[in-house]
Amino acid sequence: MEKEQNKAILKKALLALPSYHPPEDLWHGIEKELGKDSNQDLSSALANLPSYRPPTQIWEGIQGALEQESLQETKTKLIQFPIRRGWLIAASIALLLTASWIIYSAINMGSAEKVSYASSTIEVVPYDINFQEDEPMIIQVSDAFERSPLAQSQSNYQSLMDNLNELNMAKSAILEMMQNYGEEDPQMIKELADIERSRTDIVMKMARFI
Amino acid sequence: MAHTLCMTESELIQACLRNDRLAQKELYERYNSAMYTLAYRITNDFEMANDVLQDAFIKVFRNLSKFRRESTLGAWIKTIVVRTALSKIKKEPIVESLEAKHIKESLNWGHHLDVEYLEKAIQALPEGYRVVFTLIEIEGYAHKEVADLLNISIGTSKSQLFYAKKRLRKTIESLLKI
Repeated sequence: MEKEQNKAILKKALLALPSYHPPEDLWHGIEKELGKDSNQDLSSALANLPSYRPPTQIWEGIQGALEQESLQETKTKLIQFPIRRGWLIAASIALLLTASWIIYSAINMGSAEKVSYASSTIEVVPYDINFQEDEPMIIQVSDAFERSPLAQSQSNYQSLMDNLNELNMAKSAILEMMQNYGEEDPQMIKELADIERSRTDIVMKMARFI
Repeated sequence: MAHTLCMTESELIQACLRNDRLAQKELYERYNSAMYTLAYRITNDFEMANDVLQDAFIKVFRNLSKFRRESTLGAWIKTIVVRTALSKIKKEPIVESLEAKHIKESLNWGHHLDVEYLEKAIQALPEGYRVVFTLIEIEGYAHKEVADLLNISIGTSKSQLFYAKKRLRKTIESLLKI
């Protein structure tokens, strides 16, 4: 085995060896690479943005409006239909004949045919929307947007930030009202859905500049 | 959120795992000098040390969730830096040499070693010697660990270290004569 004399002297000198510092801009390279990862995270988060189901009341409103329109259309058609006397007389005769035949058949058939009715109660299942589900993703995107130098150089940077803040405050106010006065008010649900849509639009715009 | 400067290592790790960029920067700041020096001593080239440090820290942040706290965070990062540096250098195969137990020579470090000369002598070592010397004498690795890292036998690691020291001594002496 080799012999080593005065090894302590070597140890002492080794401890005094200089240390080196990496160049200042080396961190930027690391940050850039890590940014690619977070952009991938962001892309997958954006791809997984939740879709919203509108409240059932909205369809009821649409349906009601459509029915009214259809009714008005029928009335208009009836009014606009060209009335011709000959046709009117022929139609009246045909109607009389049909009615007579139905009455005659009913008398002769007696109670051979029965009509029965059944009714059932359909339970209305309350819809369940979690308006807070995508909150972490929205915060992630808006934070990244706020810090991004590219975003800061955009002319609409401040307006996007302001709009999102206003919508955030509006959402908080509505959620607070829903907590106090019940969570099933259709008007509030509709407003909340509108706010969420607007917030999603803004976040999508922000994501382009991250 | 706590300021990253005041964070304990454990808090810093948690923040890094949440992709908190300030925490990642703070972790980098805490270790960059030691790891850069290590990368430089293995590669003997500042440009390559830059690449090693960048690649190693990217690996650190991408794999931080796998850190099991079986060692200190510094030791874990050091292992990543060493492996990254070893993969970067053109590895000259280390020739299996006479095992240290058969070496009868002795080395004497004298009563004083000039640090500047020692640094120059380390830089002048052949790659294989320099890597073994750096890992064992400067970084405190055991021969078994070095043997595993370099895929050599423990005996070869020991003899490489001895020859490295012998070469160092000789280089320092010649520098003193100039």
